[in-house]
Amino acid sequence: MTELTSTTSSRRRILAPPASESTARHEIAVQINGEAIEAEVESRLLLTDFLRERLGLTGTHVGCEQGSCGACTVLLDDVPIRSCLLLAPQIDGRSIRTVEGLAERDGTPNKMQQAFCDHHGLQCGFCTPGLLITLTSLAEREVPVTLDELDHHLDSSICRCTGYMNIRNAARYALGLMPPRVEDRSGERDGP
Amino acid sequence: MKPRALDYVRARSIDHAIELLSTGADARVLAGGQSMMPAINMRLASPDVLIDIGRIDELRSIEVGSHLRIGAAVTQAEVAGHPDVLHRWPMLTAAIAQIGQPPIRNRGTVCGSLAHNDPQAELPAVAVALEAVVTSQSRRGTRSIPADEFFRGTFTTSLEDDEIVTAVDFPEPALGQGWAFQEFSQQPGDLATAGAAVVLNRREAAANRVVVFGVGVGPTRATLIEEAIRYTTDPSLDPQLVDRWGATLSPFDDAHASAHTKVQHAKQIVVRAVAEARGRMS
Amino acid sequence: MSEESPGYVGRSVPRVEDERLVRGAGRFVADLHVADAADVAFLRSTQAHALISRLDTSRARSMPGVIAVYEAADVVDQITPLVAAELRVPPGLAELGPINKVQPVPILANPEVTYVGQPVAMVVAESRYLAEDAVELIEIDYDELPAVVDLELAVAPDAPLVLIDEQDNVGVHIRHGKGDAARAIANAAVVVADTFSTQRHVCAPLETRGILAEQDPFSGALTVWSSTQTPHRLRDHIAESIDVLADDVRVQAVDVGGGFGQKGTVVVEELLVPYAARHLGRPVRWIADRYENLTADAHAREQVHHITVAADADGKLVAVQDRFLVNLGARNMTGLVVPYNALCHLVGPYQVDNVDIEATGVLTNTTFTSPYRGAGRPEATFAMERALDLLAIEIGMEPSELRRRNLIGPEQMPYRTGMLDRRGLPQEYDSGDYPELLSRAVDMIDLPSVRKRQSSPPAGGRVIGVGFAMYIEMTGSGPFEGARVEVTRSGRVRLYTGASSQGQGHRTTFAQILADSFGVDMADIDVVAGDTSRIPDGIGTVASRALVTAGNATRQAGHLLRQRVLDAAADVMESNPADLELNKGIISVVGSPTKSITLAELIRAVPHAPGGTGSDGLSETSYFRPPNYATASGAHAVVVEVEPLTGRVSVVDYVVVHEAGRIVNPRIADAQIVGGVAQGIGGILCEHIVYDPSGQPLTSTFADYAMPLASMIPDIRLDEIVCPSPTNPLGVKGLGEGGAVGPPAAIANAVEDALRRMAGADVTIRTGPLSPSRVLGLLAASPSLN
Repeated sequence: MTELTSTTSSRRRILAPPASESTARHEIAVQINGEAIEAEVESRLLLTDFLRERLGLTGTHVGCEQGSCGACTVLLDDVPIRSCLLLAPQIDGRSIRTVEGLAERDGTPNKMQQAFCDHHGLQCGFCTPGLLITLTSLAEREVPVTLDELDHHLDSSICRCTGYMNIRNAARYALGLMPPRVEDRSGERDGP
Repeated sequence: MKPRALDYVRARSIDHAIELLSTGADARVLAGGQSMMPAINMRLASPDVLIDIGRIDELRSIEVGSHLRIGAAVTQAEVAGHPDVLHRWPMLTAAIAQIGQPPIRNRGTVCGSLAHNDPQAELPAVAVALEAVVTSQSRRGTRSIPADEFFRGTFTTSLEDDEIVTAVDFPEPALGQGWAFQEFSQQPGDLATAGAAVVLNRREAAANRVVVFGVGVGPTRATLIEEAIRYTTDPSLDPQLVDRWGATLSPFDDAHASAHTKVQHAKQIVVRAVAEARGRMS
Repeated sequence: MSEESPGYVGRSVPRVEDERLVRGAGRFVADLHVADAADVAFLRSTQAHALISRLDTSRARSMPGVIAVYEAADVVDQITPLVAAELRVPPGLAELGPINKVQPVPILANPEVTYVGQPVAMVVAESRYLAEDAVELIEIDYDELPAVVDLELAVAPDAPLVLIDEQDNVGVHIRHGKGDAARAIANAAVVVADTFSTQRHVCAPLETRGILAEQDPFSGALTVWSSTQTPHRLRDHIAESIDVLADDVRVQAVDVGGGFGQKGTVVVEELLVPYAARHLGRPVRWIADRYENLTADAHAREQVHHITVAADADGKLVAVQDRFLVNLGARNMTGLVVPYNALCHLVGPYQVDNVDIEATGVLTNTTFTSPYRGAGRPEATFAMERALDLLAIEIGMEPSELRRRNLIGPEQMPYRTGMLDRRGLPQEYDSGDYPELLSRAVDMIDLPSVRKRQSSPPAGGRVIGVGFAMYIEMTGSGPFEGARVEVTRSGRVRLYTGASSQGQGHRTTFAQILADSFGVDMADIDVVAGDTSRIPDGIGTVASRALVTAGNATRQAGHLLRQRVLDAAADVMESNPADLELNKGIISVVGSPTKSITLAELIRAVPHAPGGTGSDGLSETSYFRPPNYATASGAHAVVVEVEPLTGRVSVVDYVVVHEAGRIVNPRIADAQIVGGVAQGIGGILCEHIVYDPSGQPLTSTFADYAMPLASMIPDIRLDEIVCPSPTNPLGVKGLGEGGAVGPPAAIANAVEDALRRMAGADVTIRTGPLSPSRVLGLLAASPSLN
């Protein structure tokens, strides 16, 4: 398990359930990206909406709300899960890491994030946070990742823009499964 | 879409969960939630109360002895990643690898999949093939339900409304047993159009099991095939026999696959799974 | 031009967009937190065709947490029904006597509902959860009307009417050609006639449509944040429909998570939300969920082509005749766009003297349709390229050889087809080398080696096949796009344009162009696209047009601004503009570099300059009107593996050779091609929007609507040739759509090749998706196998 530093931020504004929300409330205490957070949530609030609407952590995206697309994938106690299929009260006492918590301590993008930039692994960027979560957890694993395993994990997210090729290349590179992309097409291209 | 109004309660113990379940409210047990939450989000299911059993310590363990006992809150990924399971109950590992995507298996539970009994799900077929026994509990006591009696057709089990599944036991596979788990889907993680879990025994051929799923109904033993392979060690099945067996299936057309396709896939999967299981016999 | 080299254009500059997106710091519409924003949910029709007999919203209106409920009666006098801008018919095409019915879309339906998913009432509540609760409290009864879903049934003589006030179910009709196709076919040595259909798809960008509107408490003006592909059009629609000045509506396309055409069509929800924000004096937002995206937002692609191709004994094409139907859904929303695109791209890169094509846009009781990446071209290419393969079989010729014999040659460029283009002007291909594309594709896929492998027995129960497809794409459609560039107070250079990005990387490519044409580092440029308050006019990013139109406008504006900066610097520095040079943001006197001024110093000095021009700050606006289309082209070649026992198709090798003029950023261009190919592969292998015969959608989630996953898409191998476009100074062509045009035809050709050559099957692939079920069905129906 990754050690998460606990810092309580007083700056974060945590929104409350709407007054007219009728379902039972729960007080939850959670670690989000290393920050201790206490919040009141209603029973039916999805974890995605807790992160996005109540905490303002909008890097976790909503693509289907039924577990298919992978855009909402976050780490729950370091394990990738679909945050659209969890209720916020279920995470009481647990830790969550979102795309906002992936960068290194000094703020530089982590290896997988950098590889996505270097290999043009994203276009619109909407599916990207979910993929980065899944792939970062692979990269942080102690047992080396095989190409087949990587392919298997890539199938857990839908990307509509890239055709996956550059994502695959970025991940292979960041996981040490291939040498850096040879930039053979960077020169001026003009005239036949 | 978002869930309808519901109350969430985290059960502290099995007894607490049973007590909550017997209050008479429209309550449902929530373990991993990977089948139930999509239905709740789409407002296709809307229980008044969700009883979360996912954090009950008594349900969190995998016990390995002469048999394998999986608690109701144990995730599929935890089972698949358990080294003893991989060595002694490899069919479970193989079947779990075919369920949804990794993040789904990180939350979904083995027992939850059995209790849900989706006709296209992998684990009910594995439970029947491996002769698992489901343990359930209610105020009235504890029951052990053999898999053969547990699954009652599409999304239906012999579980009573006030009962919860607490564990499932998989007996030790017989020595020299051959096994195979195969399914067909167009893309990884899609629901299977057909799948098969096969167990072949060296000594006790009567205990062979060829269990098919996805072809319209839940786990179903292909008795015609089972009988035919009792007295032979030929890894390939007689095509005419397979055709005859295929003719007994009656799946429906749906938006993705015709009934014809499902029967074709079931036949192919059974042929391949039996051959693979033969190859694994020792 | 010396000032433009050595520059950024032509280099794979890393994208400036990426860092914030990988950090989760992107801001899509749903990510914008505006205090007190209320959420919207819609009551949508559950009937394909019906009259609402009772609608009672009273319980919903009184539910705690509900702010407002709107039904048709509440808005009928407040919001003008939606008429899409796409319904114009250019004069040249008007002479062909087309039908193009204007069918305004009711803002909220009542009494007639015409498809499942049509908005009937809008609930505004404190949260989306509460809004959905309230929707369930609305009571509604319907009197069912006959519905029609199938294209051919909808144009049958006794078909039920899709819209009860119309006379028939034809929304669009146009016929165009040249020569005498009927006669040429009658006299031809070889004729192939068959029917090829493209099944219904949906663009399904991963971000669904969203809109957030807020009224400025001081000015009363509306700010609208949107996921639209066409911000200025949306602004004009909003202004017109709720009767406010366009100046008082500011539409901003923020980070947009893919569009592909779906977000290029304005929908009624986008008018209702701004209306409600104004009406309630409170921010209101609607974020479609996936169910809405798949059932109630624009669908696409569904066409049926009855095509005949005729050739002489040597395989030289003499005629093409095609009568095709396009499913418009329940209303004519985009007019000639898709039908005429399909019509004028059908014959593509081939020289054919006799052509007769009739397009009919058919209404059905299904969700309305929009252009989707390629917008009629993949569908037309599927029909044409499938027909060519059948012709090759008929003649006994290698399909690539048949194609080679009929291609327009580079020496014929610019080539007039003898037909009218989408603008109603003579259709002219500006540049290209189609034989070179094909010859490279044949080499890359190594056709002889595939044929050799096909002559050996199948390995592992799998057969292989090879297929080709070629196409042209007239890109860079007008009428215009603009660019405004300015030097900011901090001395940076900012570019504003209406051509916003949905992931194409405009902030990078447009900055590359501006950096070269103006003369600063890219790092000193900011691109703001899709904010209507920053540039008065624009169209948007659709139809492979942004680079051609906005790219050239940017270049022009950069040149103008450069001159303006030099003039202003001359005033400030009391020297002659001709003696000054601008380099990396510093203006200096030629030959004495110490006499210099930075852009930041200049912008501050301008108002104080004695004898200055008296004009405003350092800003220029330029619009580029392309004189003609820039015609891109491509050849796709693919090898597939098919498992006849299960029907599984795998793409094992995919080659694209494309030509899209001068390339601004090769890495971005390549990725656009690959992304398009992936959508094409999904389209032919798994994607299918299915309705039952009563008009109920059966594919309403991603569990039912199969999207291609990574393992379905192999690494695509690319090659390109460059024929700079003479239609614009940059020499560029559009390439956003091209990748998606070829795969359905190429893969269908390859699968059929595999089944015919190696599985001994007598099959003709007439439609997709080539799911295992479809392939097994084809094999089961093959006379040679049964």
